[in-house]
Amino acid sequence: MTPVRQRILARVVLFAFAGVCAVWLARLDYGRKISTDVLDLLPPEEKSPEVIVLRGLAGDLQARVLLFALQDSARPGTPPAAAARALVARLRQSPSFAEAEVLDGAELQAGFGRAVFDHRYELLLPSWLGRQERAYARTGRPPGEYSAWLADQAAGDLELFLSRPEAMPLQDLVPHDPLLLVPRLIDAVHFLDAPGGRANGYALVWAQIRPSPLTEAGQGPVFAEIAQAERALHASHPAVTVLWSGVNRFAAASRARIEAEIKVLNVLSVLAVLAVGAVFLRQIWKILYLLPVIACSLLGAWTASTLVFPRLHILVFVIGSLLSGVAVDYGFYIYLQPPARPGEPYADKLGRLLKPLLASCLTTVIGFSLLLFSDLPFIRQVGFFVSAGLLCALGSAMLYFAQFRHPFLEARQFGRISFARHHPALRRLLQIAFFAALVIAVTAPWRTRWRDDIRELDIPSPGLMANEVKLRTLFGEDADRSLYLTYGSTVAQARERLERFLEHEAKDRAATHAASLGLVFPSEEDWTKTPVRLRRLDGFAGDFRAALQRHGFDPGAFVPFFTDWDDLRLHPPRGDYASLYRELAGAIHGPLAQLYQIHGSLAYFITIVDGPGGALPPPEFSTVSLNELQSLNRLFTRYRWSALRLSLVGLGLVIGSVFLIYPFQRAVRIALIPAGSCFFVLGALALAGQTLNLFHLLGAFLGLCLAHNYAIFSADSAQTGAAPPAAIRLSAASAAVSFAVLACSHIPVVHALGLIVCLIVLTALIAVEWEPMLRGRPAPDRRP
Amino acid sequence: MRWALVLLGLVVALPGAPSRAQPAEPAIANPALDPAWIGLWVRLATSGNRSCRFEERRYFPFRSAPIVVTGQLRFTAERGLSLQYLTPERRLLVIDDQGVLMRDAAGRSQAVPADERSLGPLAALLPIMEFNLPQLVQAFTFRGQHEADRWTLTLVPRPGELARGLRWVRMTGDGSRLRKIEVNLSAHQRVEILLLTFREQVVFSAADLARYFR
Repeated sequence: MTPVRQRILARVVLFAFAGVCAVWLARLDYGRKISTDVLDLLPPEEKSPEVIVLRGLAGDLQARVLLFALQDSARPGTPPAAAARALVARLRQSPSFAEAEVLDGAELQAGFGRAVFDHRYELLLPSWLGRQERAYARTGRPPGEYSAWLADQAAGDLELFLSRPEAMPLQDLVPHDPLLLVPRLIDAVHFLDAPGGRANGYALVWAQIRPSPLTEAGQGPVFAEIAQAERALHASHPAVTVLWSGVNRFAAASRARIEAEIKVLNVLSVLAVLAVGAVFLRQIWKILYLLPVIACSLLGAWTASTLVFPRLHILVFVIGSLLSGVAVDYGFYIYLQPPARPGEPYADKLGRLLKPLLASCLTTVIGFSLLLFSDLPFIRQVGFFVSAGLLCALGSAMLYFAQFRHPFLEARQFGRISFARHHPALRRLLQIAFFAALVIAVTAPWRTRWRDDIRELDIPSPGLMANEVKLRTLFGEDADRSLYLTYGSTVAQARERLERFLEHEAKDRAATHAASLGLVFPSEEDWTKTPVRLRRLDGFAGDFRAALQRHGFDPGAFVPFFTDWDDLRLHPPRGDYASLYRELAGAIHGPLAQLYQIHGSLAYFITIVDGPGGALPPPEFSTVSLNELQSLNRLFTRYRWSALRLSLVGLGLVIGSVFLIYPFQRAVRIALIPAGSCFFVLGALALAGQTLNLFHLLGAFLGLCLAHNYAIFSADSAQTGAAPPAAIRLSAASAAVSFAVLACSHIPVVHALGLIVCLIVLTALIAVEWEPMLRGRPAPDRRP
Repeated sequence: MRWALVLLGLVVALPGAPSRAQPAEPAIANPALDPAWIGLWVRLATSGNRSCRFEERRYFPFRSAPIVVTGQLRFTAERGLSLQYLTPERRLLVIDDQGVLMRDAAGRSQAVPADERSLGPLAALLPIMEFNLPQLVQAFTFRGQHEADRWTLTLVPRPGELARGLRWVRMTGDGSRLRKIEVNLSAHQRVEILLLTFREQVVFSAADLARYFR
């Protein structure tokens, strides 16, 4: 094929590729295809109910909650209740808001309290009877004495209760409830009423929005509606100020911060690369010729990934954008290589460079392809994105430079660094330095301290965070509390498991309170046995009157209870277990309603434990920790281990491939430079006390690939003792400065990636430059 | 505790709600300027840290005899009031600027924030123990009488949140010594606290402060 035909064919293939990719990407629905939700990092095929529940709960309920606190600057000590009601009325009119409540403790809870009190015999008596019957069975006494025993227990408990400080406000309740059904519930669930508890001078409003706070619909329109409501509020209550917080504020701030920072970083990065280009290239503008190669690489990676994966996380693209640093290497290498002879055809030049190009690209692809075997979707997506991008980068670089009549960009070579070559003392020093680096690379990485913290993904927003903390404190949230979720396929099963979990908690952590809304409801077993248990208590009324007398009470004062008891014996509570929940559902709303789920395929109850999270409950309790941070951090640890394991296997494969392609001595050098640079940097960071995370690890793998390229492309020059090709110096210097710019980012993920890649690239460049001097073998300087 | 008040609110409307009657002692128009009382205020307010055994008798309409609990009272101006119940159950009740803290024998704590509505009559105990006259004058009207060295002082809450759960607090003493506090919640409900072996200007160790206060 003639060079002209080759050019035309290459152009057609390149345009066809770019066209197909552009059409595909133009037709994508990015809102559905790309996720910004941290929870989408969870494996969707994961069968663990913990993950399903967590995803549903965090995504659908908690994240949609907005908290408002209103204060009247004219009367700072008095909550502006009227203004809060006006705000709620306004929010309820908005289509974006599903619910809005003024959190006035008395108003919100009185309805629930009244419903529980009114239904205490259906809700609380079955559990009480069940507990007493089980306790009596443990005494081993005959069944005939049960009623008298129970009456004495109840009267004794009542006397003891009245000696407690908390009994004072409940004494009017006692003649109606001498069995202490309601006071016991209050004792058990007292801190579920946290909202509003600490809102001194503030009126609190709790609201839930309909759209996801991570979508545009849950941000812009909601912010506009809140701003409108605030304006209306200021018109009627000019002295009232409103604080509010929600996940959508953080998500919007995070997005704005990322957009602003990425723009600045990109500009700085381009300027830095141009500055490096100005040093190495005589015609700096020709560096722009490399842009199509990077564009094709990213285009191919985006197209292939969106074709293969139904949904991709945004982080894949953040990490994948660093692919350009690797992709540009092939362009540099082809474009900056001088022709072997004047007029050398492009096909001949490519044939000459094909081996290092293929060796570099394919071994890196093999390494990243290993990530496809991860059980975690994000790691698989990164592996596929980078592998596809590298193949596209190589293919497009080979086709793209075929368009050029003279595919050669002359660069300044600057000659070989050889200060130690002729000075044995310096060479000795260099050898010691290399040896020390080797020791660090071998021994120090084991001392790495990993910190798997989901907050590494957060873009710090100190102002919003301070506002959030203030609001959460006003709403009575306590960071020392831990949340657990007990689930079941039916509400009866979930309640049964909750009973067992609470018993386990009481034994395991006696000094902590565990409260759950589930305690309001009896277990199904206690519910169905209640009529039988009541029938067994024929003589209880008489026994209880006598017992009350013995314990210093006036039985005549308890007429309301005995009237109820007689009625209960005639009409014991019975019926459909689920109806219990339906009866109370109308009285449970707002934040309280988030503490249980009785509809759908999974029923659950949330338990709040008044203390930091302990060990995870054993699996038989079907109870999971709802400390979202803890759960996601554990997931991050899994991600890191998966990435580490596969990266090490990938590294092994890369090294193995190198030994297959190159002679032993060359292969040793090619394998040692990237692996040594990578492990040296990890070791040095460990010695410096820097904690590392998943993103440092992924950055290290990318850095390793870059270093791998430099080692392969400099193999010939190192063999002859010549200076490394200008392409490597330019490529490494460009990568180092652009990643150094990224290391200055305030976005923790970008900072981590930038820092580690920059350090590995610099280390590899130093190794490539200085390694020939270690041998001390003088060689001719091939300065062009 | 706040739930308790909510539920209490549900049942106080039931038959038997108390009627309000005024105590018999003569009114003290302006306690801060009344020369018959001002010396007592100064003495009470400068007693420093206090500690005493106490016996608390709780009278209920449905009992023929009071419930009796005993314990140790501790007070410091900085840390508030601590009631360490010893019989029939060991419990701790701390009332301070942050609200109320209750701790049972197992070490489980419940905290109620400093909010007049949440604390109810307990809100009155701290300023009484502090003998904080400006604060007391804001919340109560004063009645009292002297009989030789013995004195009786009755604080009647001004209309407001506190008055909904408290009829009056009567303090009895001799000289500068407070002997009894009687808290009248309704016609049928009252609490008497007898202060025994009263000690003033007590120095609490750091361990005691940590153990008996928040």
